[in-house]
Amino acid sequence: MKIPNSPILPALFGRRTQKVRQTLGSRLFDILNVLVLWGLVLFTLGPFLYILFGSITEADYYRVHGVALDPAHWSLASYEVLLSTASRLVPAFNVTLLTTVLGTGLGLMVTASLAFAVSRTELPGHNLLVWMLFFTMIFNGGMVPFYLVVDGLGLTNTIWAMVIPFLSDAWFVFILVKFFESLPQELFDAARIDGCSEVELFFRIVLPLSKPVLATIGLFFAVYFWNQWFWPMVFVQDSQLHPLQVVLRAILSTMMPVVNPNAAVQQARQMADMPPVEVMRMAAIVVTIIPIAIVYPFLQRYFVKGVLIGAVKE
Amino acid sequence: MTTHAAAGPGQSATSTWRARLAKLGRKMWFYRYLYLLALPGVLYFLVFSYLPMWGVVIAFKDFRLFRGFDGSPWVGFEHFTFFFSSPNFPRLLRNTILISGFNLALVFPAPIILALLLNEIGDGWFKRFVQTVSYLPHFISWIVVGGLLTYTFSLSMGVVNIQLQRLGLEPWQILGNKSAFYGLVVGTGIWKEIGWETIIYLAAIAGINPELYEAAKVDGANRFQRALQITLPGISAVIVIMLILQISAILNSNFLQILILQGSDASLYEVGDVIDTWVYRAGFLKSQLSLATAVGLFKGVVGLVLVYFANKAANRLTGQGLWSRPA
Repeated sequence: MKIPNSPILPALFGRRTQKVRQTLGSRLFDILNVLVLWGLVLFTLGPFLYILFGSITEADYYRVHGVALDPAHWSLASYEVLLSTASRLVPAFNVTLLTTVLGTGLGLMVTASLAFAVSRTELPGHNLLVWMLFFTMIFNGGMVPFYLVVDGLGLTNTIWAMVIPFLSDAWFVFILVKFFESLPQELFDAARIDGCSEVELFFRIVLPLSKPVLATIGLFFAVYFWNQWFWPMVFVQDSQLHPLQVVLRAILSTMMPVVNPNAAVQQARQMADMPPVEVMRMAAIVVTIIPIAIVYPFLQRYFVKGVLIGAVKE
Repeated sequence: MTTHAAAGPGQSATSTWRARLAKLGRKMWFYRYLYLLALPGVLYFLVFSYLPMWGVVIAFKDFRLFRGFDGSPWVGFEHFTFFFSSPNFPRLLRNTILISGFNLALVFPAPIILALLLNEIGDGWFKRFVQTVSYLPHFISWIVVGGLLTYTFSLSMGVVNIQLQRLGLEPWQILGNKSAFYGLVVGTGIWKEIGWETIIYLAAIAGINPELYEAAKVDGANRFQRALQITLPGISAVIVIMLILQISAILNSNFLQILILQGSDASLYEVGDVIDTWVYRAGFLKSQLSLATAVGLFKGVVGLVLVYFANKAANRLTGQGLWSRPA
C-alpha cells in the first residue's frame, strides 16, 4: 500500500527534492533525522538564547526568578548602561572597530597585491615566492621570537601591534592566487593589447572581477581582528587600548565591573536601579557577538566558496 | 647548458651566462611594478614569519631582555636537556597527545556524520537554516565561548545547574573539574566547528556522480545502503586527506581553546596543560624566554617532520600529496 505523502512534513522541514514512494523505514529515518538536526540547532543556539534572554531580564525579576522568557519582564536597562558614557565597553568597542577596519582594509591590500604577483607564473622568482609562502604554513618560529620581533619594532602598546603583525596569511594568499588563476586569461590578453600595464590590469580588471573572493577573505580578516584577544593581551598593557574581547575577558573572568566604579555611582542615582552584574555580563557578551552574527549569514555564499577554493583537494 | 657554436671556447660559458643574466634583468625590469605590488606582502612575511624563525637561535642562548641578543651567552642544548629531563615533559606530551587523540576519535568524525545527515534531507529552507545556524559558533571567540560555558554549566549561574537544583537533583560540576576536562574539550570542539567542517564534506558529496545513485536504486539498494556504499566511499579521499592533516598536527592542540578552558585554575594543569599553554606561561608569565623558545622549537621541528611523513602517506594513499602543488 502506498503511504500517503503528508503535506505537513514538507511544510515543516523543507521540501524533499524527489517525490518518490518511500518505505516506512525511510519515513521514520526522515523524521528522526529532522529531530536530530533540530536538536543540533538547539544545542548550538541554546547558550546564545539563554544569555540573550538573560541580558534583557528586568533587574527585580532576575534577582528572584532568574532569566525571564516572558516579555512582560523584559527591559533594556542593561544595554542603556552598557552604551552609556561610563561603560568600559564603549572605548573597547571603538578600539576593536578601528583595528578591524584598519586590519581588514590593509590586510586585503597587502594580501591581494602579493597574490596577484604570485599568480603570474612567468614572473622571475615565482617559485621562490611560492615556497617562501608555503614554508610559513608548515613551520613558524614560535610565540616568543614573534613577540620579540613585534616588541623590537616598537609596536607594543600601540594600536598597530594589533594590526601590522597580522596583515597577511599564506593560506589567504593561496586562495586568492587560485581565484586569480581561474579568471579568463583572454581578458588579460585583450587588456594588454589595449596598452594596459600589469598593474593597471590588477586594479582595473582583476580586482573588480574578484569581489566574491575578496568578500570572503575580507570576512576572514574581519572576524580575526574582531575576535583577537591573545596577542592584544600580550602586546598591549595600556588598558585604554584594550580591544573588546580583552575587556570582555576581564569583565567575565575577574571582578572588573562593566562600568567605571565612580561613574557607576552617578549612573545608579540616575537610573534608580542598576541591573545585576550577571545581567550586565550577559549583555556584554551579546554586544560582542551581534555585529558578526548579523553580517555572516549574508556572506555565506561567498565564504563557502572561499573555503572550497582553499581546500586541499577539489 | 647549450653553447653557441659561434662563440669561442672558454668565452662561451661566460657570455651565455652574461646574456642570460641580462635577459633576466630585462625581464625583471619589465615586471618591476609587479614586484612593487608584491613588496609589502613579501616584507610582511620576511619580518613576521622569517625573522622569528631566525630568532629561534635564542633557544641556544641564555637570552635576557636587558642583555640583548648579542650580549646573551651561548648555552648549546642546555634548555632542551633541562626540559626533556623535567617532569613537565612527559606530562605535557601525554596531555597534548591525549587531547589530540580525543579530538581525532570524537571531534573529527562529527562533521562527517552531520554532512551525511544533511545530505539526506534534500535541499530546502530547513537544510540552509541548519547550516547557517551551525556556522555561527565558528565566528565567535573562545572568550565568548568561555562566557557561554559559565552561563550554561557553572554551579551558581549555569542554566543546567539552576534547573537541576529546582528539580532537587545533585549539581553537575563540569567546569573546573579534572575528570570532566577532556569531555569539555571534545564538547566545545564539536560545538564550535561541526558546522564549519561540513562545508568541505558536503562539497565532496555534491561532487559524486548521480548516476551511481540511480544505478544503486535500480539494483534495489535502500537509502542506508546508498549512504554507506556510495556516499561514504565517494568522500573517502577527502576524509583520508583531512585525517592525515589532523594527525600531522597532533602536537598542535587548540591553544586558545585550552587556555580558555583552563582559565586561571591551576588544578587543571595536571590533565589540561599542553605544550602551547606551557610555552605561553614560561615565556610570557615567567619570562623564561630561551626555555620557552626551545620548547616551541622542539614542537615546530616535530611538526615539520610529521607533515613530511603525512605528505608521503597522502601520496601513497591517494596518488597526490597533501598539496598537489603549493599554490
